[in-house]
Amino acid sequence: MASREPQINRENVSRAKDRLRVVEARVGRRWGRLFWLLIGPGILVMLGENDAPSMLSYAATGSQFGIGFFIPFVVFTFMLAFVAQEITVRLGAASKAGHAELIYQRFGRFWGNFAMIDLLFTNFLTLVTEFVGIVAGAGFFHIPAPIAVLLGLLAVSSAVVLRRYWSWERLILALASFNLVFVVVAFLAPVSWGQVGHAMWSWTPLPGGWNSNTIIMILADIGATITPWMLFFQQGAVTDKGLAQKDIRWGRIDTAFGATLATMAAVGCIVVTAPLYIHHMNAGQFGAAQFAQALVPYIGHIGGALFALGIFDAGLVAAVAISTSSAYAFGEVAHQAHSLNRSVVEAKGFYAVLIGVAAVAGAIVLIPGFPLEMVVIVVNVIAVLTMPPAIGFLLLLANDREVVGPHKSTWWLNVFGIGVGVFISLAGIVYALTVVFPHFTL
Amino acid sequence: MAAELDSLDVEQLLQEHYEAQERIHRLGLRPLSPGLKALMWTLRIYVILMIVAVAVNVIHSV
Repeated sequence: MASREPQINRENVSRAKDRLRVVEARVGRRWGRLFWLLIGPGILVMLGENDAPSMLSYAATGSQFGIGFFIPFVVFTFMLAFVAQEITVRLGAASKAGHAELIYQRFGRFWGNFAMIDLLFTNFLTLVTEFVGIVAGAGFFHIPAPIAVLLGLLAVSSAVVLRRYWSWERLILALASFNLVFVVVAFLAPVSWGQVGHAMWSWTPLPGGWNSNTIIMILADIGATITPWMLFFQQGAVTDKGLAQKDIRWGRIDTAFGATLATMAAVGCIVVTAPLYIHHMNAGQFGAAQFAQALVPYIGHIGGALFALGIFDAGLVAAVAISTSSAYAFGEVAHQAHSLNRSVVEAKGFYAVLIGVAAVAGAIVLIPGFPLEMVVIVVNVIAVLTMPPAIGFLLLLANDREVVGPHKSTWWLNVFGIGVGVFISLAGIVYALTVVFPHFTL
Repeated sequence: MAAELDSLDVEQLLQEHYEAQERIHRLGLRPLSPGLKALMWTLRIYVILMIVAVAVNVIHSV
């Protein structure tokens, strides 16, 4: 193969400027500054995954099961997510290549195409649900659906105006931090925090036991924390940001910090919707931001408004992250420029995919009579079911010394990684059993 | 200052980046053992079966 000559272009100059700031902070031992410079992909991916369907899954969990088993279970799923996402930090920093690029490079077009079909299929469905969340959240404030979709597209298009990974990342981080509003509204809810503490260590109660509804909720909550797009997004962002091998430790901290913040928001969402369970409200009647309206008697109008704003923001951030994940994957596979440090003229295909997929997803949400609620419920489940092959590729790449060099997974990291894959696969099999045998219980 | 970079600085700062890209670009396909191929096919069939299960579930609930 022909050797690649280093190019001095806008993308590389921007990245070099970012690297210089990191080097200066490291030499000056300014650890706070270094933390600020190197955080981003991990927090974005974790808060991005606390997207509209995820928050609605947590809201459904709280309203159907109250405070009990699902509180520690959600904490557990974020631990699983950390195990998977930490690998993408090592892969990105060591290879400077995106996830799709590595799969095609090491496993060939045949297996690469399968991985891409999974990614693009789940990404598109998820993107539709993000716009469902955006429209629903905006609906609480009587903002018409087309305006809400336009706002979503504006957020996705911000990358075109900013033309700089660093500026884009900071803007989306600011938007993503609003996810913590679910922690704030949790404190407005009339719930016993002693009960939350009890649930954390006892994993009880689980109302209704292990029936098919519980299993679907378990799958939806796993899908709310672990999905294929996260792998592609974080590795792409780590590469675009220019993280070096020396920065892997900071990438881990970034990912762990993001997982902690996202866990707090997810638990907050379950806690705040728990009063609906306590007062025997039928959660089946709620869709999207109607949760916010139902919560007003318990957390007040301001609380309800914050909840709706949280759903709107969750959709907005995830729409940006998922569109970017699709665009990274497209650029890597098509061998076209794929960096947020490039201008539209330099990376036409990248930005066309970034905005195009979002525009189509937004337009679908505006189709009258489209079964939006059905898509919202199904999307998290599909995300989990397409995850095992993605975990398989991830583990193979993480153990490929030619790709990651000295950052190859250790035996105990492999034990955790395989554990995540087996757990997700078994959850899928149990789900399938409940479909084939509707009266199946564990 | 970060704003004043010449091409030499860029190359030095991105040396690790260029080297890694070059190394990955030269990599060929990873040899897959029969066991690994079987595992990958199993996971692929798993996904197809699960998507069928979701479709059945959706049809039942409509």
